[in-house]
Amino acid sequence: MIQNIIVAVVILLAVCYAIYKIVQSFKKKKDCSSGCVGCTGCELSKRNM
Amino acid sequence: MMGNRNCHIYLSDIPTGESVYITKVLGHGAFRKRITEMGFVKGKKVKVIKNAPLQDPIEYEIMGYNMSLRRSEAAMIEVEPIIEGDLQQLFHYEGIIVEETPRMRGIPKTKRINVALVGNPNSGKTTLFNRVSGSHERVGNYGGVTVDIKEAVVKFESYKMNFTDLPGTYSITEYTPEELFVRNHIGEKKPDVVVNVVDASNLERNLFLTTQLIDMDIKVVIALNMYDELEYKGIDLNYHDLGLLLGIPIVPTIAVKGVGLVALLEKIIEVYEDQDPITRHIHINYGSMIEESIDRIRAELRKNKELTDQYSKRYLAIKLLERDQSTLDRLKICSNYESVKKITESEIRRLEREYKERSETVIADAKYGFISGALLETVSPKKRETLKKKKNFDRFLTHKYLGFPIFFFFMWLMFQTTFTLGAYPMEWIEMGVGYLGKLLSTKIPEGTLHDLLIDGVIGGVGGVIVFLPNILILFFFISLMEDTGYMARVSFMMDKLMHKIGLHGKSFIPLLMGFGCNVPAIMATRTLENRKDRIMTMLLIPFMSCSARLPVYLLIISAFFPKHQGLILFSIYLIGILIAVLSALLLKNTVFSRQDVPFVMELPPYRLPTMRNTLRHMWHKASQYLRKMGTVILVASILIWALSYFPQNKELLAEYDQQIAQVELNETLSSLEKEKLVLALELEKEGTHQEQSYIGQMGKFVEPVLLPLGFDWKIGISLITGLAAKEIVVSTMGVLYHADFEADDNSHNLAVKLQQQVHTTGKLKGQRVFTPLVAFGFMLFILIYFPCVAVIAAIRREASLGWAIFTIFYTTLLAWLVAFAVYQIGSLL
Repeated sequence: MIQNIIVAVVILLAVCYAIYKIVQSFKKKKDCSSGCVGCTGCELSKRNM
Repeated sequence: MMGNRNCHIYLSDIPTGESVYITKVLGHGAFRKRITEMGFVKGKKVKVIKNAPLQDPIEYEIMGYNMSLRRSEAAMIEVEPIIEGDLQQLFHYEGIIVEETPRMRGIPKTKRINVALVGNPNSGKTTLFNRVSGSHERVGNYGGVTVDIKEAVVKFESYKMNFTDLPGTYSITEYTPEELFVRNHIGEKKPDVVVNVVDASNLERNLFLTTQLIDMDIKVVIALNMYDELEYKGIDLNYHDLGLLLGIPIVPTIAVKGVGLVALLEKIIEVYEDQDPITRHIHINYGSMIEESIDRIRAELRKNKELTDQYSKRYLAIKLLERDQSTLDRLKICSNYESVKKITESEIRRLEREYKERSETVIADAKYGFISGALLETVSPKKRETLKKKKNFDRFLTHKYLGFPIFFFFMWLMFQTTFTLGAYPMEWIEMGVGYLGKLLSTKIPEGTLHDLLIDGVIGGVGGVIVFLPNILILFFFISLMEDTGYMARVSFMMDKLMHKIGLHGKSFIPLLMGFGCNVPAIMATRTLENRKDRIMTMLLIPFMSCSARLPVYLLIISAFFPKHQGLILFSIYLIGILIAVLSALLLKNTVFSRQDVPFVMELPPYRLPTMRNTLRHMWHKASQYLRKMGTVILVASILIWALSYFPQNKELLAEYDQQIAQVELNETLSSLEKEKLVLALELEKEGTHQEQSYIGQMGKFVEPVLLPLGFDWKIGISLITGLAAKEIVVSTMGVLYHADFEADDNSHNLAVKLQQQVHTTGKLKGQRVFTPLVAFGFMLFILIYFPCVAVIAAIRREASLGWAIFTIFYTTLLAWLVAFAVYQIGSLL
């Protein structure tokens, strides 16, 4: 019985983590590491094309 | 033979080994701007070093550094031969104008200093950043490794310094997104001190950026990095006097050895606190004509106090004279915008009439004139002439006939070593995992948790972790290629081929980086100037087999291709490259129309890789891999196990147990027959249970799509789970095929389990699932299909959602078609 409870908790945590990672990977990064903060490079490139 | 068209000689006509002076740069737009910023200005001496193996591009030496230009681009540079005795360069050195306005002193300052690292690509900014802050950011001996900003806090004396490592730029114009980004960072974030990292071995070109920082009127400290290379070249530089001339203190550093960094930090504080005796604001004297134009525009700009409080009027005026569109756009909010525009246009016309050159070239010429003059005053000329370079090594690596074979030999060696050398530690790890499995099996009583740990966690994670040594070996080779500067040479050799398929030579570096991991490779496409080049390179990167796919290949090759392992692995990577080439041709003729972008690329000097950097690179990869084991792979293994374990059909299992018990009690059978029957029943029990499990139902649902490729439902599930990360393919197989790491020897490892798999249903029932043909098709499917969620997210960020969706469908459809062709055609043979 105790084994079943532990396994249920572990699976639940794994599901939560998987959902979190999927959502996180598709969320647009807004922190500075994305390199796009204040950069107008994309607009510039379109203009240069 | 030296050609002569319309009485002009062009750089493309000059034979190897000869030197000439530049008289004029033709062309327009981005090419002209970039080439002048790189030092191709009137009066500069250029030497033809060599042609690439395919005769294009050509390597040139200018101002002590090497760079490559395509033949068509070199044809836009007018030159004249050097006449003996005529060593006078055609630059104008007008000196400086000292700004009389005293600096604001005595303003109370906080103990927090914002420091931005700015410099040319490959000048060692990130190495310096890592050394100062104790960070472990990626470095390499080629330009464009840093494509986004990195931040770190350094505590020194009683100060807190916020260091920002910015991408490398040759100038602060608007040629590439990085340049504009650096410029905006300095203009808008206003760092307290800018550290201009200057490559001491390539002073003349590096100081061009410094002249732009001088125009911006900001506090700057120059880190004269790689100072040892300057000394090695025998150049005697009076950096103190040069600093006095520039109004910027100069600190010699050797970042890779950590030399001069304390002095640099002390100097940053002195400059921040306005206590440095050298720091003063100077104006580079561009000559009376240009100065007059600057003054006229400045006078008009002065009317906009809000803007001029933020930016130096002189800087804005120079930018306007350089036809900088972003600066002009920024002025649109000003009430006298039309007037500023009118004056600027009139001044540009005046300068161009006078100099018979475009205004931006006139200013670049003047800047280089100033740099040449400043260096003439501070560099000992006698020692400059003793400069000698060892070029034999380079000639060998980029040889006309040997260049490509050498490159392919390196590639083959890399994959062969990955297998042969990696086999030993792999075996040790496998034994360790086996021991852990056995230990857990004896300590934990039978039950759900026992099954989760043994079949799920150990089977899944254990199946992947064994490949860590192979991945480290692969990264060791990649690190060597990057740090020595060979990567940039390969890019140089490949340009003509890349050009033929509609790509830029520079695309080769992100593509090669893709062998490590596709995500940073997609980010590295930022170094490409043209958006179409960037997107096309991004679409091809997934075909560059990343290290996450390596465990799958290693598993399959060791199971089904024991002979010629290295060769098969090499062929997989080559097929990836071939598919990328064919895709590029397809995209070039359909989605992307041909558009030439100049191939102006610096060729860094060869450098001996440091053990510290190579080990750090490998350690970084190892920790990343282990972290992935403890998170994504572990979670995926648990979920896959759960889906394959539940629901439990207890009646069916009991029925099988009863049959097994009957066989064991049957006295008419010999012990060998009993063992065989029991094993067959056990396998059938397991197979039936898995097929009825959730994952089995999912697998059965996708099986019809994969059956034409020879894949069973378990392979289908492995491919689906591989969407998250490719290593999960192996862990899924570990769980689904029940890799028995509890076993005493290696006879039950995953490779053997794969060899034993048979189809349990359908037309192929009883036949082996994995034949060499199916195994090869499976590896190709892994190579080509959907890269992973992180790569798709990166494409979405760097290109658009549309391109991310296109990548998903294009790669997966192509993978299916290729695997189908391999299986169906192969079956006929």
